[in-house]
Parts: sequence; C-alpha cells; structure tokens
Amino acid sequence: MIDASSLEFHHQLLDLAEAMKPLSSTVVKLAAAVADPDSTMRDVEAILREDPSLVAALLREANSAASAAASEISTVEGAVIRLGLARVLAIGAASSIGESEARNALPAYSLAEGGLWKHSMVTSYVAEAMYRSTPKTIGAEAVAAALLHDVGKLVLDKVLDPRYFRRGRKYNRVITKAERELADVDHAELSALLLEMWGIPTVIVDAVRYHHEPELATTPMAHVISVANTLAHGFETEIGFTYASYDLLEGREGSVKASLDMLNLKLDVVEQRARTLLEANGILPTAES
Amino acid sequence: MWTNTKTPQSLGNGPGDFDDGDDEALSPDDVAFIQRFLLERSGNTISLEQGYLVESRLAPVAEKYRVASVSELITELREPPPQLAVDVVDALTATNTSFILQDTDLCEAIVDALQEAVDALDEQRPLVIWSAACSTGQEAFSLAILLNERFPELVGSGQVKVLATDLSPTTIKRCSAARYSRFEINRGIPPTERETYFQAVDRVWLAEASIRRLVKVKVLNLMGPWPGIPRCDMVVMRNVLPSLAPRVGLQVAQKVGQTVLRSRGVFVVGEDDSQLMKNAGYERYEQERGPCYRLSRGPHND
Repeated sequence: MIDASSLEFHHQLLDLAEAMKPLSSTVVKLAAAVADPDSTMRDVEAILREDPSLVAALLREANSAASAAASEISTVEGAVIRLGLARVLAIGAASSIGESEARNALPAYSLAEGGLWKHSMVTSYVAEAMYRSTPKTIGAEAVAAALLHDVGKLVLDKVLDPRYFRRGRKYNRVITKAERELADVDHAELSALLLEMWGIPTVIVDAVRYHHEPELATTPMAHVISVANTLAHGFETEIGFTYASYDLLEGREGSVKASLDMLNLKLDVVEQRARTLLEANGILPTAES
Repeated sequence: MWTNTKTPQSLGNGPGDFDDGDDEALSPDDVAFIQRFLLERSGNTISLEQGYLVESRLAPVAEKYRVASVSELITELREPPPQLAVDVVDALTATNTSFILQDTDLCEAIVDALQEAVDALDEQRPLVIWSAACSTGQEAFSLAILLNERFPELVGSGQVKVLATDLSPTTIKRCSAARYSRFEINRGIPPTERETYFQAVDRVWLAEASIRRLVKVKVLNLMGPWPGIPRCDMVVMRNVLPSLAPRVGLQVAQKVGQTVLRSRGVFVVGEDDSQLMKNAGYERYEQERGPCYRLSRGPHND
C-alpha cells in the first residue's frame, strides 16, 4: 500500500493512465480540425475518409430515425452536414474510446455496468443542446469534451477503496474533494491528463480539467461541460430541474446559474432542447411512451 | 430504451443517500483518540466523521510497522514510540497543494507588496519571505519564481530568501528535493514558467537551481517554538489556518504578528480566513486582488 501523496503513487496513476487504449489517430486529427477555426469541411472529409469504419458509423447515424433524414445519405459530406461537426466528433470519440472499457462497472463510484457510459452520452447530448443554442459562443468540440469529461474515473476507480470513498463522498459532498483527500488527484485532472496524453486539443483538455471549477478556466467551454454534467445527473435521477436541486447535485451553491448566466443561456430552454435530443436518440423515453 | 443504471448514491456529484454498510472499521473511540492526538501534536483538526480518512491514511503506516490493522496501530499510539507518532502525524496532515502563479491578481498584489518592502530595504538585511506550512513547496517555489521574474537585481545580489517550513519531515524532504509529478506540475503554473523553471527528468519535473537556491527548507511545527525564523517582510500561509483548530489558528496568526512580521509586513492567507484575521488584529488592505493583510494595531517589531 502506497501513501497517496507520494511520487510513487502518482507514478502508479500514470502507469494506469498509460495502459489505457488511446483515442484513434482519426479522432485526434478530427478534434484538432474541429477546434481549428481555419479548417474547412474539405479538411474534415479528408480526415474521415482515412477511417472507413467511422464513415460507416456516421452514415448509419445520419440515416437513423433520430436524424430524421428525408432521403438516404450516402456520402461523407452529406453525413457531416446532416449530423453537424459537433456530433460527428462525438460519434468518432464514442466509437474510439473503447466502449468495452468505458462500459465497465466502477465499484468505487457505485456505478453499475454501463453507468459511466450512459452518463457520458447524456452529458454530450445536453452539451449539444447548449451548443445548438449558442454556437457562436461555444465551439463544436464541446460535445466531444462532454462525452470524454469523466474518462479519468476509469483510472481512479482502480485505486480508490470503495469503503473509504463512499464515506469520503458523503462527508465532503463535492466528489473532487473526496477524490483529492483519498487519492491526491481528482477525476477531472485525470481525464485532462488522459486527453493530453492522447493528443487532444488544449481547448478540450482545459474544459475537461476545469469542469468542476469552471471559474478557473480561460474559455467558456468548461462552463458548458460543468452545466451539462450537472443537468445530466438531473435527467438520470429525475431529481433535477430547479436551481436548488442542481446545487444539491453539484454540492455547491449557484454553480449552474452562474455558468448559464455567463453563457447567456436560460435553464428551461436548455433543459427542453436537451430532453428533445435525448428522446429523439432513445436515451430518454418519449412523453407518449 | 432508458434504464436508470444509477441510483442517487451513485451520482457523480451529489451527496445522495449513501449506505455506510459495514464499512466502519474504527470505533468512535479510536477516531476520537486520533482527533485528540492530532490536535495535541499538530494543531490540526479532523471531524469524528472522518474515520474513513484515518483508516485510509494510516493503512500504509500500519503496513510499515507490521501491525495487523489500523485499529491495532491506534492502540500502539496510546504509548507511541517517537518515530511512530511522527509518521502518524505525517500521514494525517498530508495535503495537496498547488503553485499560485495562475492566480495573477494575487501574484500582482504580492509583487506590489514586495516592491514596497524592497524600496524600504537597506544594505544591512535581506528581504525575507516565510512560506509556513508549505507542504511540498509549490507556494515557496512560486514565490521564488516571482522574485526571479520581477526582482532580478535583488536575486542577483543575494539579498533575498524564502523560508519554507512544514511540520512533516517527509513533506519537507519532498520540498527539498523540488521534484514534482505530472499532476503536481499541472496545478497553478502557466506553461511558460513551467518550461523556464523546471526540467522534465524521466517522469518528474525538477526545479531549476535558480529557484532552488532561493528556498531554504526546515521542519517546523507551528504549535511549537519557532527557532530560526527571523523578522519577515511577508508571511504566506494560504489554506493553513482553516485546517487548524480555531483556537490554535488564532494563536498562530497572533504569534506571526507579535514575533515575526515587520510593521509594514504583509500576511497572505486564504479567502476564508477574514474573521480569524480580524480577531487576530489584522486588516485586509487588498480588497480585490487577494487576501493580503497588515497588522491593524498592536506590537510593531521594527
């Protein structure tokens, strides 16, 4: 057993991070292109063409009922136009992250098999709703950042003792405080480290790093991930939908409101748009079902 | 189709309805003993609800001393061999800290205060800054970087030193080594300063000699006497006072004012310390940029 504040323990965490399967080179290049304001649609298409399986996944998604295509889409360009850059990158990241590992149960976090993956998907759809509401403020890469924001939990779960961590979370209320208390490092730091190691653009890395402390970030994207994360917990547990309940979920007061005000977004509008997206993609049951 | 794979207790953030189950291995009496032990030896406080933290932090110590459980270790602590007592305090007081260089407002406030102190310096004495309860030293090395960047002539003349003290010998050893992990080097330091003042060696970042030679390290328990601590132009103690018992925190803040801080010296603490600092006889003179205080009354040391 190693003291969590020691260099040896930090190196053990690095070993575990390095052992994770990285995102594919296609996704890394795609993320860079999406985050680069000078890149063109032609650049994105060229990157996608290098990865036939991703193209197949994009065409499948573009022709799905959720995408409501009036006619069959059979080209890369058509798929990108139909889905939008934000969702294209998120689909790439989702197909690359290695769903098998991301779907594992995480005992320390009391997450059943598939629990982390579902939360990541819901968070990405909430972020997409926010992106669609204010695309000039928020980069399209926010949706992929939302999908990847908790990937560090896959590493931390391997070192956190569930017996201590459950009680630490109860005592601290804020999850990152409990993680730092017991493992010296929190999942947001670890998620950022993994993305940095995989070559993902800094704008995404920083948004993920500060998704529990968006006020420390230099770009608005951390606020998007922060709100999307909390609202996703609200959708998952159905105990959200007011600022007070979001404060309870976040473990601190005023965070969601401050971020939404900063982004000039209205809570009810974001919730409604996110719900529509989640229902259309079969993640939430529709009102009629 | 939606299936709720999460229950409230499995939230990423929320407090939820956690089930402690049979996880409690320490008795309330054990935790209460550790609470008293820690207070007496370090002034630090833990809550009686933090038995999980005691178990987690002391499990490696129990292993080191070949004791079967943390509970048995606590039994030995009732009449502890000296080194065991040190190791237990070490384990329980370890805190994660960060560089302060990304807090540009605070850094500018510190630089302005140092400039005033430098202007008042004579050739008889150096500028002295004390980073108290410095943990692994990120705060002290941040100050050394600020001095290098903003007061190069003073640094060149050798007329400045940063004292870094902590009660933990293990932590002070790490501070002295000035080696930081990839996680630690990512906290609170901009890339430019990281590249300029640290060198990546294998998996650690080693502070350059230019800042290492400015920082003098020493084991010192704030609860005991403070030998070797001279009058200081600045004392930095961010996020330290709240971890101490309120009475101890107040005594430490008062002692800084009475025995260490020069009359125009600046005491940099944490944002949550305002009431304690007021009670200890200080006033905050920086309202916007950071929690920087000066003595509002009482003894003047110069």
